[in-house]
Amino acid sequence: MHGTGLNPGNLSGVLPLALSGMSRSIEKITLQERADWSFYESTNITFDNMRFGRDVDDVSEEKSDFLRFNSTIFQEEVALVGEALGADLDEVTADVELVTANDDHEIFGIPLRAGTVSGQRWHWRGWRQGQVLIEIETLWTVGGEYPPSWPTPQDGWTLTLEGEPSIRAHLLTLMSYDKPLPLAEHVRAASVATAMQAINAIPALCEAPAGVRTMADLPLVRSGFGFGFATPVPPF
Amino acid sequence: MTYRVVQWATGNQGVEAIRAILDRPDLELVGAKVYSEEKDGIDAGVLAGRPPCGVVATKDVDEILALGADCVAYFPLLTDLDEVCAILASGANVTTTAFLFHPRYLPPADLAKLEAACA
Repeated sequence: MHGTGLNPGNLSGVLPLALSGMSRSIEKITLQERADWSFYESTNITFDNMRFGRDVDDVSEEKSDFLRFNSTIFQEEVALVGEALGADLDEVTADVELVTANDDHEIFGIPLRAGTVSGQRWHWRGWRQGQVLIEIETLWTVGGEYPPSWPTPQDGWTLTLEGEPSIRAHLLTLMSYDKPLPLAEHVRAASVATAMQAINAIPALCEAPAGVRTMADLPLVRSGFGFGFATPVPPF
Repeated sequence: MTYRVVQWATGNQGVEAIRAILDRPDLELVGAKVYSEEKDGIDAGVLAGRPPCGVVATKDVDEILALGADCVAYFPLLTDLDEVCAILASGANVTTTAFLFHPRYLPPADLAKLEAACA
């Protein structure tokens, strides 16, 4: 059994552990995900599951099984990285700051009314003795209004390991950096990345002992197709 | 070594997975589980925008579990732990993008169920 993906997945699980190979010591790990869901054509997920476009009172873990579920998987990720790096966390918490739209918007034909939720800033935090050691933050918006009070990392993912040394990486998935492509193609990149992390794990998973095998357990997963000219040499 | 793989759910991520499985010599697509009537009975290659590959998608879970796959790529929109346990108990590995990122963090009863299914 193996659960993985993009975030939660490679960028919040595999990559922090990989980069930590260069760390003498770590004080805090932060992953920020900044995304404008306006470009994401699966409006059922944006509006029905994630509850953008609803009243503030309707957007919480208490009001939505999906949001509670979604929150849980990020909490698992925080706990996983914490265990793998000796954080000895006391607890993992979840909170969300909601922002409402100033104007009406339309997303692939679905209206998003002024006054309804257009921004969700989630924090999943791993705490030890009152200090946050691991944090995953989302800066999710729909409709193109970016809250002035929010931090402004670049779109995509910004991973920071504060420690000795301190390491920062910005990641962005597109379908190409070389070729001009329509935006809809680029939006697909995150789906490809999510799916491939799970598919590329198949050989290692099938060879692993039976049981639950996390991102901290399996050998480093790499592309099983790669350049495609020869069979990649596996790590085992 | 070729691993026999089932693609479970064929949404945005599932179709990308099918394309990868078809392209890789070390993976063989042996089944595709779908949820809608419209996709039931359609060739999995076609669902992924490819030529037919000879694997017909089905809504029938028992049919999928009887395939004896090495691994099921479980990509549903809504997850079901009992369903995952049934897949594991059938002898297949499960790789998923949906949940179970750190099952040791699950409620103990859920973890026990999952580990029993893996054994």
